Amino acid sequence: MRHIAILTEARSSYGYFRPIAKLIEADPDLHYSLLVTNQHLLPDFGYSVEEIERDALNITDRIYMTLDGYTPATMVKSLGVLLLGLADAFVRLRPDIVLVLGDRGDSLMAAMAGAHMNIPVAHIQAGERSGNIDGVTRHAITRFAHIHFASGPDAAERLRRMGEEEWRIQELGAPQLDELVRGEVTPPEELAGRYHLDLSQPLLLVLQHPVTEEFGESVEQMQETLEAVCELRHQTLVIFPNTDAGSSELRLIIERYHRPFMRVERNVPRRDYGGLMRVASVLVGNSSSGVIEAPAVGLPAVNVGARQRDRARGGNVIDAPHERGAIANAIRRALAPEFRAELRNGSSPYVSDGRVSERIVDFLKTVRLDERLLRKQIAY
Amino acid sequence: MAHLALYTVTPTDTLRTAMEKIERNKHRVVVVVDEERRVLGTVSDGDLRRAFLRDMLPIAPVTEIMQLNPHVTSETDPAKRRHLPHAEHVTVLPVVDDENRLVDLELAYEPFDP
Repeated sequence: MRHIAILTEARSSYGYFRPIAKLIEADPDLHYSLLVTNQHLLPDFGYSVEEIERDALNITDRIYMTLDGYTPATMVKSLGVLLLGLADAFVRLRPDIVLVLGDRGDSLMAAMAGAHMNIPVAHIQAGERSGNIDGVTRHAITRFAHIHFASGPDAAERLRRMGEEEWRIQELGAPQLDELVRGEVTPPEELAGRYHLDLSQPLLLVLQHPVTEEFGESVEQMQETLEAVCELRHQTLVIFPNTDAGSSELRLIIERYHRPFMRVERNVPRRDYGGLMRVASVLVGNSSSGVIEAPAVGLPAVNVGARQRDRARGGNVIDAPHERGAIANAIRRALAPEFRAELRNGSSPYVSDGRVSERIVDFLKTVRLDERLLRKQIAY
Repeated sequence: MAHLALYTVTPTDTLRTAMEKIERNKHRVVVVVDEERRVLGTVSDGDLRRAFLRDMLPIAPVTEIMQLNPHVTSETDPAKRRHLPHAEHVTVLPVVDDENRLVDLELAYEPFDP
């Protein structure tokens, strides 16, 4: 029975892995270990490991890693702690494949540990572009990974040009859209009750992370966004950012800006987040979900600042600098019915037919685990 | 406002401090207020119980477990406040101005002798 080890560090990656873990569970030839770490285990970030428990997935390891302080230095040290934990976990679990995702340092640690321990590493969301340290991390993972799952032709081509061998590149689509495309999200009535929303009114969804390279400016950047939100005074749901450097200050600022027309959530379960994207009027901030997931549900996104600078995007994205007036104007434009109407025939570089996860699992099940897979050639 | 100190904690106060105040105020909840008196959240008996079930230590700051969206009101007339629909579900209802600063507390019942 082939054994897949999966690492998840936050809500964002859990959205990819839940359908994959469920498919593995249903397959008699496969089983998985789920290693849960970082943000999932922090009460202040909503303790989302409880969402995984509610989904009845098999959590094999809880790797506590996150040093308090949330500075560039504690980020690096935290990753070091994770790397130590992963080495022990892989010795004990002896997985056949390590499955990682995206562009986070946590995934890079798992890819490094796997590659060094002769365990093939498969990487979802390989080859895409993203800004800052994340973008660099994604391509560093590519160097360590043995299988690259690309969401589209642009990502696949980049992997080729990086010198990765053709047979390692699997262009299967964007699995994070599977649940959205299939409508497997929380229904509106349930969301209205849980988050006290009036769905007859416009709803702003705000999710803005600190940008590692602009660590010192994160607070001002968040203030500009929240000032714009306070000027418009629409019903607003703000979600706490991830644990990157600058994060604790951002949470404090959000708490300070909390107004009666706002709700603040530490964490929103993935199914709820998908549902909220369907009922929201606009997504504001710098989350990749504004660029990748939002077009799939026709949701306008006001993308603030440089965090998504290098990512391929569709027509739903309105860019704005970190300046309250510009952000407020961009939100107004996004809320205009004409803008939303135009989105219906817009295109997105991220595609799913709702079955991408199945193809990924199929590939993991059938790929030959041999010397050829483990021995990476740099093809140029 | 009588006994205000028994009903409020600061963001850096610990779970233990919140527990001590709740023990004394008999209203099963404290309000987390920052230095500008803005209401950041609430911590209840139940929040503390869940925190201990997650193996959190009594020295953890209250901000890690506080409820971020507590019921508040901006109704300044105490007679009307008592009949607000959500007033019956809470033992302590913070009264705030439009900047979310605490101006008063509406208690479901009289404070006990502290």
